Amino acid sequence: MMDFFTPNVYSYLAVSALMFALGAVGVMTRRNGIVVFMCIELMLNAVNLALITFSRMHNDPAGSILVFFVMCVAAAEAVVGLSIVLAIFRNKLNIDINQVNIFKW
Amino acid sequence: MNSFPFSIAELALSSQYVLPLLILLGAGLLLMLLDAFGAAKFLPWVAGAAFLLSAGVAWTQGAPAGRLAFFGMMETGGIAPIVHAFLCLSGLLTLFFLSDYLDRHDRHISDVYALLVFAVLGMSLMANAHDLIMTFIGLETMSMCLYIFAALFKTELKSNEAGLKYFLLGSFASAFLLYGIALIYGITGTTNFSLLASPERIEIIQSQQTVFYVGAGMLLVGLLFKVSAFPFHFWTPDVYEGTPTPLAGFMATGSKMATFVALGTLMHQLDMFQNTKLLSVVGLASLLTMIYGNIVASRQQNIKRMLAYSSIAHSGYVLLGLCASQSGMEAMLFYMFIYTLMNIGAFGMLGMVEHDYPDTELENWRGMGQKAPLFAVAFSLFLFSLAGIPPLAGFMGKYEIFIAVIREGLLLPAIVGILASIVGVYYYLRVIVVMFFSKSGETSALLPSASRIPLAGAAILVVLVLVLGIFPSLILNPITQALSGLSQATAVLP
Repeated sequence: MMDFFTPNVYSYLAVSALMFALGAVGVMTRRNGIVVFMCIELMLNAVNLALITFSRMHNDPAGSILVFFVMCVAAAEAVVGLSIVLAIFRNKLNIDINQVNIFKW
Repeated sequence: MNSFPFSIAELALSSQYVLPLLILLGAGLLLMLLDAFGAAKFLPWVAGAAFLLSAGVAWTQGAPAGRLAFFGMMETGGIAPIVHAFLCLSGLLTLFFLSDYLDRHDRHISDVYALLVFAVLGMSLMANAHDLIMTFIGLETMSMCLYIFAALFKTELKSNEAGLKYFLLGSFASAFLLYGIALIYGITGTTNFSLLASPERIEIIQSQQTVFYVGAGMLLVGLLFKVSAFPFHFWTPDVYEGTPTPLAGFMATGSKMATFVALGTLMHQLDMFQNTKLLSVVGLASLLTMIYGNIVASRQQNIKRMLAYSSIAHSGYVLLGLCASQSGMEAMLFYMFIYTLMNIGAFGMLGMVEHDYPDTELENWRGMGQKAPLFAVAFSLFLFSLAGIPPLAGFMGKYEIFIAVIREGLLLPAIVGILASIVGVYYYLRVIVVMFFSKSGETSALLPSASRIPLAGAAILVVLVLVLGIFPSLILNPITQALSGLSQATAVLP
């Protein structure tokens, strides 16, 4: 019984997988551009958690280094993403992605 | 694999190996500075010179495969120099059409040149990566620039929409790619290609099949998204339509070439995908991509959108080529080179006519053959080449792909591919028919731009498409030579 409550590799991985799944569901169901973007960030952080866990498991620094790169990329992505959202907000005064629908085939 | 303590000598040697990349990096920073100090009108020339210089250095630097830089992070030998030169060429050819397009739209966005250089840098990093970390960083460097390209005209709702869709879906896909990398790292404990291909790692992979399949599948999702393969294609037409036309051509060629090379390296050099079901998944995706792209493209009323769907179809042909082994890699590179020429030509010339979004509607092109005969002939040449009609270069590209696939014994997929490309002929010909054979009473006032630089670009591309159709070996031979050393590429780490 004690084992169940002691965190091990699998519990971290389970949390990571859960976060990733929550993020993915959020991306597909939420309609607010910024919330969708936050869900993507959640997915990236889920990956970070998995990477750190694996890095610790293998006792190998490469995974932790990749986490730094992912954080940098996420920061850069936030800059680009929020400025796109801002441009849309200036033109339409809202960021509901259901209303971003000029193109249809 | 422990390369510490590293030596300064090795760092210096690595920097020398990646000199073509450093040239691009320096040029990108220089472009930003020049922009800040108000030298905006020189920017396209500086960017063009940087592309030429970088491609030239890479082309002359050619080396046997397995020359790794920065402790096994980057491949700088084998096909790497050639791929780098091709990517630089796609940037250079885009430049011909870009500044005129921006001028005519009265949007003097000078940041675009630095971004173009950085995008090519990212593509080259991804294509020549020798480590999954590098693949990810290169992919993101490239994508970040492409997101900005899509949203370039910030007061234009269509451009906003293209940017938002590309950004949200693109980062969603790269999250999957990243989770895939994490899982592969989790079971093998390494991200380096050489180590992943080593026998003990392959043994580990075999014992942990489920996790490996999930990880590699997610990796595949991320890469297939970037090349707009069938289940992940839905962003392509919307994004290309909203993106400034010459840059859409760049997106459809350079970024796809880089992703295909990365995918091909993973699939063949790594042996990770060999003898697994993943290869058949790629094959299935390629068939569906070809069929879907061609059928939907034939229903489009807008030329730009039609070209976007046709680029989905072309991705299908290349993916099919990737399913064949070594010869498929060769055919893939050759095809992507040809495709770069003809597609940048087609998108670029489309951009030469465009002043506003509706200008790309097929209806508005009636009588173009009477108003601007030379222009219409050149544009038709690119369309014929895209359709794969001999003796143009596009035919040789398709021929190489299908021959490689048939040699591999994949007869049925090849037949499906050939049938799909016959459907493709229809929608390219339709544009030509509208341009030349419609009644001239109902023509619109559209005229192509008379600026010299895009015309020069179009002329160069026409010559290249004609010459390579007759002498494909000019490009095919260097590719074969570079690839011949690839099988030993998974040699040893320093």
